[in-house]
Amino acid sequence: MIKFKSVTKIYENGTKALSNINLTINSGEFVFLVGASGAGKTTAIKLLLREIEPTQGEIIVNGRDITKLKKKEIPFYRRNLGVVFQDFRLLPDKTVYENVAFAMEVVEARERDIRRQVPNVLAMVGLASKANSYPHQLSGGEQQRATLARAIVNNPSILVADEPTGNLDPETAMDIMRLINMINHRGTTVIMATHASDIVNAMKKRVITFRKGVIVRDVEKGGYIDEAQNF
Amino acid sequence: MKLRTFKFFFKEALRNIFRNRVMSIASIVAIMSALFILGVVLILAFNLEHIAGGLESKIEITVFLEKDVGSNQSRSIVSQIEQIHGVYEVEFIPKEKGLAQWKKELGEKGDLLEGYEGNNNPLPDKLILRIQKPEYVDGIISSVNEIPEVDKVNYSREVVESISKIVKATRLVGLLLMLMLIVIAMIIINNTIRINVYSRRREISIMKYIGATDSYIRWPYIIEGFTLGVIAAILAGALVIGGYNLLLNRAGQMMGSYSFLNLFQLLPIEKMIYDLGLAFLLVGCGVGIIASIISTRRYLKA
Ligand SMILES: Nc1ncnc2c1ncn2[C@@H]1O[C@H](COP(=O)(O)OP(=O)(O)O)[C@@H](O)[C@H]1O
Ligand SMILES: [Mg+2]
Repeated sequence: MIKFKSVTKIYENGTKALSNINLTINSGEFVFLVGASGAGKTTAIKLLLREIEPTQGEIIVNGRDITKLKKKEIPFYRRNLGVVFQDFRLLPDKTVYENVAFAMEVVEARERDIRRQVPNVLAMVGLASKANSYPHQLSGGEQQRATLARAIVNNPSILVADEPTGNLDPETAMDIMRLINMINHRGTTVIMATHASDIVNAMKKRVITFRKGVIVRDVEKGGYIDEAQNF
Repeated sequence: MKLRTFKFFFKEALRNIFRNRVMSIASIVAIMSALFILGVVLILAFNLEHIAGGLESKIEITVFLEKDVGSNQSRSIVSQIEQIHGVYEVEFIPKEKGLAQWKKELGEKGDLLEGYEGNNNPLPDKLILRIQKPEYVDGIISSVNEIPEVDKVNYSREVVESISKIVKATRLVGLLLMLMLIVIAMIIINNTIRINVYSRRREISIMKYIGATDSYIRWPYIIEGFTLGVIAAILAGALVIGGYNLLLNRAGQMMGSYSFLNLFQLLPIEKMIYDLGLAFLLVGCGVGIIASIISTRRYLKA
């Protein structure tokens, strides 16, 4: 379970990116964070990744207040999270296989487990045939599949995605969404920030709408409501 | 740490070294220069100490007894002095022998001393002490002075003291120079690592998202610093030892015909090679590792 309790984030330059956010996300949920650019979605995700600390408030993940984590504990906390970004962030000098295996090496998994697990996830995301390709030899959709494979290879309990379809055409984007949905069905909590209304509308999931750093709407099986229409 | 992880770190470290060849070479040269100076200082110090040691063993303390001391009493004083810590030999020269020696030195004019034999002998009994180490000299002199029958103690300390001054000065200048070069080496290594961290910043940020610990991220850089240090130590060692052997050969040829210079014979390299090698490896690796730790701490902040 993820809980934001009265979370406020003011950046060093004085920008108030989030103010007094209260939010509960249950295990296994699929949640969209939507809102216009600058609404505070990425800030919320960075807080969840413990990349930044809130100015005020608590963030409870699986029973622990992550704002109180010691520096040493952060890496171990992050092993519970799989992360996907708009810009893929694959290592260009490693093959798809090596990129995914890297995520297991970094957490010092056993060689035997790596050899078993990496082909499994690559098959799952439909990239088995591209295992030995380098990122630049892949399409955008394939690169995002590879990063999804990397994100889930260590079996995280939560998948965090910040605009994962931002660089993809609508059709490829829907492929990726089907994949993320499948990951969610395996029990992984999914938190995805996006401002792609067609995707949000098609998925019929919980939608939390941010506007200028506050939550203005939180509905189950919702749709994307354009700010221009409602506010 | 698992062997595989270590291999991975080592591979990463070598990759970094090759990827930033120019900076790696600069780092190695910098450490090498510091080690070279260290080598020169050590060799100089070893040799000066060797020479000083040679002279010291020839240094003598001369003790004159009061004139009215009888010969039996003199002998008991000799055994008393032999007990003093640091004295390894006492030569007793009774006044009769002293007079005979003096006569001999005067040669033809020896008859000038005619009539001073026996009870008229103006000379005191004399003791010559040989000492184990120069550190003991002061203690021995004060112990000897406490003996009431002792009249005077002579000791010429100029030569030994000037050599030990030279040894100290050489060490000081050399160590200062070396420290300066170590600082320069650290700055260059710091830059090398910063460039490596910068060129791998994407990889490092991904590692952090995946949950790599800081030490996992740092290890390759520390191994890199260590490797640069070892390479520098080996090269500096070869340079110093090769150079010294060349010097030994030249010196051997030049001094061959002047046997009196044997006193100043240079130490064979075998006597120093272990000390030098150990010092080079310790200082080289130490500088490399410490510089890496400092710079990764600074550039890998979360
Ligand atoms: N590092 C930062 N320093 C200062 N202001 C920032 C920083 N990151 C984001 N902001 C500001 O915080 C607000 C929210 O940004 P962000 O969370 O990135 O929004 P979104 O992801 O919804 O587009 C914006 O006004 C943005 O300019
Ligand atoms: Mg954003």
